[in-house]
Amino acid sequence: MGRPDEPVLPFAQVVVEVTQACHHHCLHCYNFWRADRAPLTAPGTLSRAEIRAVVGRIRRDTPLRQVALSGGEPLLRPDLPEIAGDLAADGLGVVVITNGTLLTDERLGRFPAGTIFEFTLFSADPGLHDRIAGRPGAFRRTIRGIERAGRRHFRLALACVVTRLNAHDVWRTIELGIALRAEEVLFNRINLSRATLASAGELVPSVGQLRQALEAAEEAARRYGVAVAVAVPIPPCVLPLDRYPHLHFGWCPRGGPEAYYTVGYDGRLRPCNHSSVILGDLRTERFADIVTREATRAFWRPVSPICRACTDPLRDVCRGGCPAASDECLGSPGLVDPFVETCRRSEEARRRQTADCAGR
Amino acid sequence: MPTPKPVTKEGAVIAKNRKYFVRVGRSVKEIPTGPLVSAADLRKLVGSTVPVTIVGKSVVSIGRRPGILCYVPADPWLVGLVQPALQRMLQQKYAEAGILAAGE
Repeated sequence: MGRPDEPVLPFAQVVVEVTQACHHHCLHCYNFWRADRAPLTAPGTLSRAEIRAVVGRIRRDTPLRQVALSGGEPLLRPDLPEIAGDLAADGLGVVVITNGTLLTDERLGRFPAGTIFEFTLFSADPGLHDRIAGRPGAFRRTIRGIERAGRRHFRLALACVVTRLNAHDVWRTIELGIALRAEEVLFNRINLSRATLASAGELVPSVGQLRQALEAAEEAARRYGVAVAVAVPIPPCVLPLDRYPHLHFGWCPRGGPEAYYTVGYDGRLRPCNHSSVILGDLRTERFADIVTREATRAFWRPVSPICRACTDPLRDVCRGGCPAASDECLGSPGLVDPFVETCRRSEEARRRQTADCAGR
Repeated sequence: MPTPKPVTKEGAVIAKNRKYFVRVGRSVKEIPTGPLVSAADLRKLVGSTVPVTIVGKSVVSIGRRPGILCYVPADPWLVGLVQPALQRMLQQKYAEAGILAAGE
């Protein structure tokens, strides 16, 4: 907790990227370092003790409850179970965001009870999952890893990144996730980054595809009772969201109480996992000092004039979608999320294609 | 069939025989506890008034509407519970398809 004379910041969660290394090459990967990853043993990588200390320092300024251990692929770190154990021993909830392929019985046996594994699954079709993950055999290894975690009664959440390639398979993917004992589904539409912008046309679903994918998720939530969170914002100008009452739509907290500042492998702090902006260094600076400085506040503030003029009832939560995606792709967090435009363009292209086919 | 709209009402969390319920007007619904809705957290809410989001006859969340984060599981108050029979049916379906290990 903070010192008595200072206000405690409200943040309850933080993401710690324990490594940039990853053995998958996901087509939609948004990590700004994807073309130039720091290796597992890169100089400056926080040690197990340093991670505990950095999180402890954040905790002094916040009512921190949960730490998400992410990457890269966090399980590439041999000491990940012990890192999770340290945080759990300090009274924090731990989420491991993983592709699941490295979840062996030996590793699982070292994780603290109560760890949540959020695993990525892109399709129930092994070939399609492997193609998206960029690694042959990934599907089979993910399924086996998650089965092992489920047998040991770890808490499981399925994260499905929805792109043009797999939007048609959302229903079966959620079904498979439920069969794997996932208690919650995160429906994450692709979030564009500098690295994926060039291939946005192949990756971003059209409005129609997105609608079909949401309808499948809605029906799965209704029929099976599984909680489905649409985590990456879908601005209501793309399509109306009130047709999916069983889905929980999320919005960027924009530095508000639900913000999840992200600690990089080297201790440097960023606004979120999607952003490459360095706000400060937690090895040398206090968390409260970094997040309350003007440069940090300025990151969250801008909203596109187009969005300010929006008349949708969700305007004040949407505020243009993902500001980090706008910043990464377009150079300013104050522009409309590039997903909006690419999704519309994708729909126009689909319509033209349909009209061409009908005209032949 | 028209899509039911989510409605937010005020409800009270009550505990009985180690189970948790939410009362909205005269209707009482059990809140399933599980991996993402912990009994310990619910215990703290007993006796308090909370917003309850209802779709049709289903309670879909209690407490504030969850603020959901990219890639981090949603707020624990998101209520979802898969019936074991449905889960077993899907396990069998995907085991028969050769995706899950038999006997899952």
